[in-house]
Amino acid sequence: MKDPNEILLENEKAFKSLFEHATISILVTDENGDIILVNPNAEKLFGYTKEELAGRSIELLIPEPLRDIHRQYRQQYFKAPKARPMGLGKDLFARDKNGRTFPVEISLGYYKLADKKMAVAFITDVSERKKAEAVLRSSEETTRLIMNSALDAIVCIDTEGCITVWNPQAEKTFGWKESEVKGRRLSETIIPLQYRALHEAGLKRYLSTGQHNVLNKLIEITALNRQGREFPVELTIIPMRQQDKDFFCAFIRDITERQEAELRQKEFAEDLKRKNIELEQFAYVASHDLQEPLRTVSGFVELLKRHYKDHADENVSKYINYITDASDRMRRLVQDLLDYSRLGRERILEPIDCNLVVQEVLSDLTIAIQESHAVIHVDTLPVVSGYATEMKQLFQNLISNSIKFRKPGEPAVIKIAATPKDDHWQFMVSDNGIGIEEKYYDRIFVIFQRLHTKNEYEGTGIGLAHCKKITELHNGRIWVESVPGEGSTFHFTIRKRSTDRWDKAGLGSKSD
Amino acid sequence: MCILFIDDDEPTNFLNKLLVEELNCAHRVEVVTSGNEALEYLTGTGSFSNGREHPRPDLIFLDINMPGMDGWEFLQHYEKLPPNQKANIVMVMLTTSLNPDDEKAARENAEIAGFENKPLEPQVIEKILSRFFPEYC
Repeated sequence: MKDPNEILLENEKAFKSLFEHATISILVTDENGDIILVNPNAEKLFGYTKEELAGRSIELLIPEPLRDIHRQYRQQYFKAPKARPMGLGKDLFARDKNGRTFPVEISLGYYKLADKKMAVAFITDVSERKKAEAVLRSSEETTRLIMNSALDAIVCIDTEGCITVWNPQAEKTFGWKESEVKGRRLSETIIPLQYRALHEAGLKRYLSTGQHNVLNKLIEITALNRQGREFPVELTIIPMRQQDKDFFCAFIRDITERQEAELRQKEFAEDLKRKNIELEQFAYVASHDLQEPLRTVSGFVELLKRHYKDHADENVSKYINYITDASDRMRRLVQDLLDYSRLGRERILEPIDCNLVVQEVLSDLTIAIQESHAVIHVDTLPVVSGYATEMKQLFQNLISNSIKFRKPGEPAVIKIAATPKDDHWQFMVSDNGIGIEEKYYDRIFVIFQRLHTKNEYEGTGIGLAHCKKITELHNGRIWVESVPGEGSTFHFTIRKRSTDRWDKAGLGSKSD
Repeated sequence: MCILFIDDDEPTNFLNKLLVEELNCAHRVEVVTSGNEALEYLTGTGSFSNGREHPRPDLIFLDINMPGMDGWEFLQHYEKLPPNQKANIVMVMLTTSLNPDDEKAARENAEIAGFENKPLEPQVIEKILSRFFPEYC
């Protein structure tokens, strides 16, 4: 038998050790709320030494606004003390030496020492836990917001193929409420009959072998709604894993309207293509077949001319000249029409160095340039993707127009330049010529439309119509700005491609 | 009776003039080759401001498709002329236009009394004269 005193001593040692090493903070107060004992962990938690705390009111460790109410509770507690958690589910706060307020959980106990009632508080700082809870709550809230506001239907299934997540958009898209489908097999709801076996087999195969061919990519398929209507959807299925549990999440979008629009667009494009081919064919055949009788007329007029060469009266010569002029003009018109319909027929996109093209055109126009004393400034032009013959014709028409429509008695000054824009090149051919009235800005680009009589200026009126068609072949457009009597500036655009180059550092050229 | 042809095509004007002369239905046939020139003729301006006698036409044949100011644009200007410069003028569109829209527009235009297709034929002239100038026939 041990000496009771010895046992007492050993017990005290054991409890002392417990008290000293407990990872929980322990405070002991007397009935007046004065601190009697503090363990090291409490010293650490509150930042006071036990000497600083001894004899001080427990309210020292309570945030200012809560002190009165704590005092009341404390006094009540001592009327019927018992061991219980403190706070009754309310959040409790403590305050340390630095004035920091932090959330705590407290359990209360009591004992009697002689006739004194003592209260023991076991205090845990729950700041970190509260923070983690807040983070979790906020992340849950974020997830909920995303799920609720997503324009995609979001549907998740577990490894059994049963629905676990069904967001509001899924309700809208498919017509079932979340409560009606949660837990049901996906294959019994939105998957059309013909895909059900595939879906089940695919799920099994993935779970046993990891093989898949529908995961992580955009697929187009059909789905069923509550009314049994099958409609096209676009979806992505992502396999996910949370706490060792696999599940699959699908983001689904109803594409009925988009598909209908695409179909309409496709039909429209095909229709347009067919009509264009017809039209090209029509112009080609018409102009081709018109050549034949025209040749006959020209041939016989020539014959008449020769026949009456020496003994024609004035009227006959005049009539023959009218016929010759008219049939010549007709031939030019027919030829122009033929050229117009052939524009871009066998087109191959290739790099076109516009600098070279313009030089070639200027060299072709040498005589006209010399005769008119035209001065031509050419800025550095880009290398674009285009159709060689057509691009040359475009520059040729614009430059020769500028020479042709110069002001009488004044040399033409022509400027050619280009500017890179977001998705196209914008070219400019400007002159100091007679200019164009604004009301004719559109008409000049219509085939065979002219602003001047044959006597004033030669031509059939095809040039700018060609230019318009050529720019359109290059996904561009053409327009004019002009001040009558001062000059015109023709702008046209050509679609820019990544292979295009523009050596702005290169030198421009000038010729006159 | 004075007839004015507005047409840019010289051979057409030549033939029309010949036709009217052969019908002997007008004491005067005038020809202008553009809408602008026609306006100058009617208002006695431009190349017609030289004091020479330019009789006001009783009947105008107007072409639609002309370079620059076409038949329609001419009509816009014509509508704005002071009444004394267009009083009693009968305006007939004479054109090769196969475009039904043109014919429709012509029928809806109050200034236009008729819409005829080229080539101009004797019967057409006679028809127009008997309809609009019965006292003359």
